[in-house]
Amino acid sequence: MTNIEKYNEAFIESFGVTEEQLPGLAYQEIPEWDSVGHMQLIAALEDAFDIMFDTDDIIDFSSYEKGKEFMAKYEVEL
Amino acid sequence: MRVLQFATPLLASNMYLLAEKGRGIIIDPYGGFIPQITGECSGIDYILLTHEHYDHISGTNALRERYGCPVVCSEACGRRIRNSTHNFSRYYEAYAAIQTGQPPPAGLPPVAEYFTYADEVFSGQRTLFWQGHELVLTETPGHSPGSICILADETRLFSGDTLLPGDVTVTRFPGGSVRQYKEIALPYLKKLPGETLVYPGHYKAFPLWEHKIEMEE
Repeated sequence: MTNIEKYNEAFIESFGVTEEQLPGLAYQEIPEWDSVGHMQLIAALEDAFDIMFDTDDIIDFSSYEKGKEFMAKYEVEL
Repeated sequence: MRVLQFATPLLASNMYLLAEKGRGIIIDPYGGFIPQITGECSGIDYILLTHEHYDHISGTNALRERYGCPVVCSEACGRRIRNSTHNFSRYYEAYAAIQTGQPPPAGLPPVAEYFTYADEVFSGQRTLFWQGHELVLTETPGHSPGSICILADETRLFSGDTLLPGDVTVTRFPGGSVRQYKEIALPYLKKLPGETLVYPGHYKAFPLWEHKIEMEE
């Protein structure tokens, strides 16, 4: 599985969305991406890429695209 | 037995003090209420954890050191409180900020990476006989793998986050399981008499019958 597939899979598993829904997806845009769902997503990404997000990055991880920027910070190439 | 409820600054989670004949049991310890505990009890015999999440265990190390009593929880909880990812302390400040829209209250010590350990763990069920009272600790996973409920004298239930007033139990946290909740926790709760007084992990106490209606919807 490629990194982008793993990245997408974390969203799909956490929120029950399809891959087509991912572009533009943002926090609180769907009921599943609430504060609890956000922690699901963060844990799934940490597991998938063996990284540990900083607190500020967890708070600022506000969309599918914004998350991609953070993944680069943790040296994950998507 | 007197039941004292203390709402903590950590997402308004509840710490409980059970007091009888000058002795006490603490449920879900928070370190900020030592004067109140000391004013009520000469000593603490047990610290009980309803589950492993940081807002319910933050005072474990401080109060165990202070009172020299054992910490008791489920085997799964005992395993997960050792890990700051599994007990969510590593995520706590971020989660609290997202949940409340505000940074954590000023004056609290930084959470950093908190971890602790249990002195006694159990699987399934364990009964404690204390100061003439019976406390039955029962595993009720779903909200988290380590969740338990504590039934005191068959009349008072300390439910942790397994049952909150008016809310559907959250099973979506990492490690949570809606299947376990439906297969283990919910059948346990449904067997309890409706007049059981529930002391939840957040909010105020309520009679179980108020919630049974919602569980059946």
